[in-house]
This record gives sequence, structure tokens and C-alpha cells, in this order.
Amino acid sequence: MWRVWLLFDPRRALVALFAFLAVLALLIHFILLSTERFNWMHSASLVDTTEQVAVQAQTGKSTLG
Amino acid sequence: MVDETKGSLSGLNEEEAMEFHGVFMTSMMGFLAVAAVAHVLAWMWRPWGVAW
Repeated sequence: MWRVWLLFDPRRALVALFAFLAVLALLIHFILLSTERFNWMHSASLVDTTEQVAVQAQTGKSTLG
Repeated sequence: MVDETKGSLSGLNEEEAMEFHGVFMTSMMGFLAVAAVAHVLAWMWRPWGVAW
């Protein structure tokens, strides 16, 4: 297994590996951000809507129609 | 000095290759450990796949 470093220059291998991992990480994080379930940033707006619904429930009027 | 890196395409000799491999494997294990912890935390936050 170590013989691979007789074939591939470690410096170039490391640079290529880091670049590949960085692109893959960015891709996966942005894919998750684009989903409803795994978007960890927009959950604030979810809280707002639930609060809004809760308030309306108490005051009896509902804008959801 | 006989160039003991004969047959090596990367220019490393066998000793250097073994040494680098040791450090490389240790670092990879560390990376995988961190990734495993992150995935466990993410799963506790919101499971994916068949479980939900």
C-alpha cells in the first residue's frame, strides 16, 4: 500500500486530494441547503410561521383562509 | 551516492514512502473520526434515508 507513494508524488497527491475534498464538501453542503428538511439556515422563518399561527390561534382570527 | 530512488516515479525512496504513508494513514483516520462524529450529530438532529 505504501508503494503508492513511489508512483504518486505526495505533494501533488495531497493538493489534488484536498481540492477534491473541498469541492465535494461544498457540493454536499449546498445540496443540503437546497432541501427543505436539511436546510439549517432558514429554520428561523419556520419559527416565525409557527409563532404566527400560534398567535392567530389564540386571537381566534386566521389569515390562512 | 547511488541514487536509491531507482524505479521510483515519484522520486521518493522506499523509506520516505513508508514514512509518508504512516503520517498519511494517521491523518486519514483522524479525518474519518471527525467525519463520523459529525454524521452522528447530524443524524441526531435530523435522520435521513429510510429512518424518517
